[in-house]
Amino acid sequence: MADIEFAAPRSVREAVKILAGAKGKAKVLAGGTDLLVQLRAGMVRPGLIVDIKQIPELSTIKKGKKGFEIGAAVPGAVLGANKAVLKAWPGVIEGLELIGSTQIQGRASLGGNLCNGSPAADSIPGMIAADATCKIVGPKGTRSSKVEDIVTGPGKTSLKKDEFVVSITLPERPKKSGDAYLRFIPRTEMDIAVVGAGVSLTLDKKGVCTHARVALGAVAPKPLLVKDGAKALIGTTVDAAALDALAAAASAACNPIDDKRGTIEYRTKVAGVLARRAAVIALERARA
Amino acid sequence: MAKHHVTTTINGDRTEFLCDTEQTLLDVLRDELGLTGSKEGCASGDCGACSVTMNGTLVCSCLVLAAEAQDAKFETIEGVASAEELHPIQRHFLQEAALQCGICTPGFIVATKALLEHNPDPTETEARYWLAGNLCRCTGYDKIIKAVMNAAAEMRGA
Amino acid sequence: MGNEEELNRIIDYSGRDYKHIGTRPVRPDGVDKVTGRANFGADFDMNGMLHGRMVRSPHAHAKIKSINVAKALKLEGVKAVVTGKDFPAIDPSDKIVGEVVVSFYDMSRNVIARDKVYYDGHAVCRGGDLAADCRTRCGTHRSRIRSAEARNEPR
Repeated sequence: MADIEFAAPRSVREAVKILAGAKGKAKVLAGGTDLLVQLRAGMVRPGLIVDIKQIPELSTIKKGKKGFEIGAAVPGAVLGANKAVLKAWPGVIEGLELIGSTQIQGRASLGGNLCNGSPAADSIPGMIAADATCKIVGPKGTRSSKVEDIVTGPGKTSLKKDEFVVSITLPERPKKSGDAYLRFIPRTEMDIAVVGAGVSLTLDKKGVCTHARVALGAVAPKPLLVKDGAKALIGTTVDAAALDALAAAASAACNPIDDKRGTIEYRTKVAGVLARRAAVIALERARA
Repeated sequence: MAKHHVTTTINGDRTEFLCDTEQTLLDVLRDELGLTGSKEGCASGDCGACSVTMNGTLVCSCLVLAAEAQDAKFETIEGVASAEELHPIQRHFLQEAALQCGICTPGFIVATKALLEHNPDPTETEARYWLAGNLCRCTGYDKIIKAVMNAAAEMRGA
Repeated sequence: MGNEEELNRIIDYSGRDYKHIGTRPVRPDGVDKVTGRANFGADFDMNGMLHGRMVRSPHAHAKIKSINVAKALKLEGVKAVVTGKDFPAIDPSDKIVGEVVVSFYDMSRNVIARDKVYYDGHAVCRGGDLAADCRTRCGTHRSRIRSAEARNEPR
């Protein structure tokens, strides 16, 4: 078996150069909690592994006019301890923090979870609901993409050859907003989502919802932005009727598979239940 | 291609080793450095038997490439006891019979030490959630949690 | 006092001072285990020892058509490859083992597959290698296992 090369560049420019110059397949390494498992199982056979954690932009959290710019390799343990992000976007944090165990949280990152491309990824619905964008670099330069456009299918992303995600930006949080993420798993911890639901909403002074985004995970080949779910909430006071409409829209948007974790019928039903519950939590947080 | 030469710090000692890219830190600890206290239970980050701290953060050493150890500081089970005496966590694990076969024990002790450094006064629920990544086939966890709570109380000076 | 009375007499153990009963001794292997010093099987390292790796079936139910060990044996450091064929075929009859009677037929076919694999992960062959990283060598070993349709309904 051919040896795998390893590089730990210290700048984005250096990383782009190394990736572009790689012979054979190259894999970007953030926390490694997915990559190393796949490597061990023989699911990936790269010729080069590029550790991006030594690049400052990838490992820092910045607050700017656009919102929070979170380095793609920032681990859950560090992001979860950032009080400012936690206050603004608790739903995104709780999605990331549900991944794995304390040990996994010491390494796992938003960027890694996103680019691994699992339809059941726990951090993605919250990011989609937050209308997050990511900064991508490659040999052709820098570009921006909405998080919901990254995962294109199970294990597949829209990233072009030699591109990688540098950071994820969570927008500035308007007043009277709240978000939440809920997932269903058969165990208490350490499992893959059977259904994940992320909801973010904003209320006006009268308590009417003026803005909302609803996202579902694990119920389609990729995480879904459920536009009809948002429509069910906008213009309402998020009352029982609106929540019913939201649940129905969530279930209608599902296109899941039958597998050992859940049947199509079960996932479809639970999607509606979790979307409703997440909306209620988001509402409480918006009113607080 | 040539192996990577890595310089790192383990349990306070400056350590150097050579490794292939695909060797994990766990592989190197056990096969190259003779530190067999960390165990391989799953090689996929699910069981926690390989738990170490990296720059003060609890991680699975089976999910860290040895090459990533460059310039980092690690604490393994071998560094928990001092030269003269056992750590209170170790004493309480013994007193409360929180181990049977003992293969998960190093991982639990490292994880518990990390817990109590992060939160010296956890509730039982907080302790259980923190330790969700450490699996035990023998004890049923109850005595482990008892040992953790008692060690925490002693370390707080309660 | 008859035998019955003797047997029914309740013996009072309170107040007795035993060396071990009623105490909570620390287990004798405890200190080694909590310090990581205790050596489990995988912790031993001896000069010239071989490292073994199982190659396991990816199929849930399949007939083994052939296992090509030639390529594996040519790999550097590989000292031996063992398959089900290297073990004696155990017949289904019951054997008297000490106090009980057992058939080792099923166990012998579970430990390592002969002719047929019964589950995803069923051991197919084992390589003996000098290097600790023989995991990768066994991964490149190729064998042909034709997948038979998994029979899920009981017949």
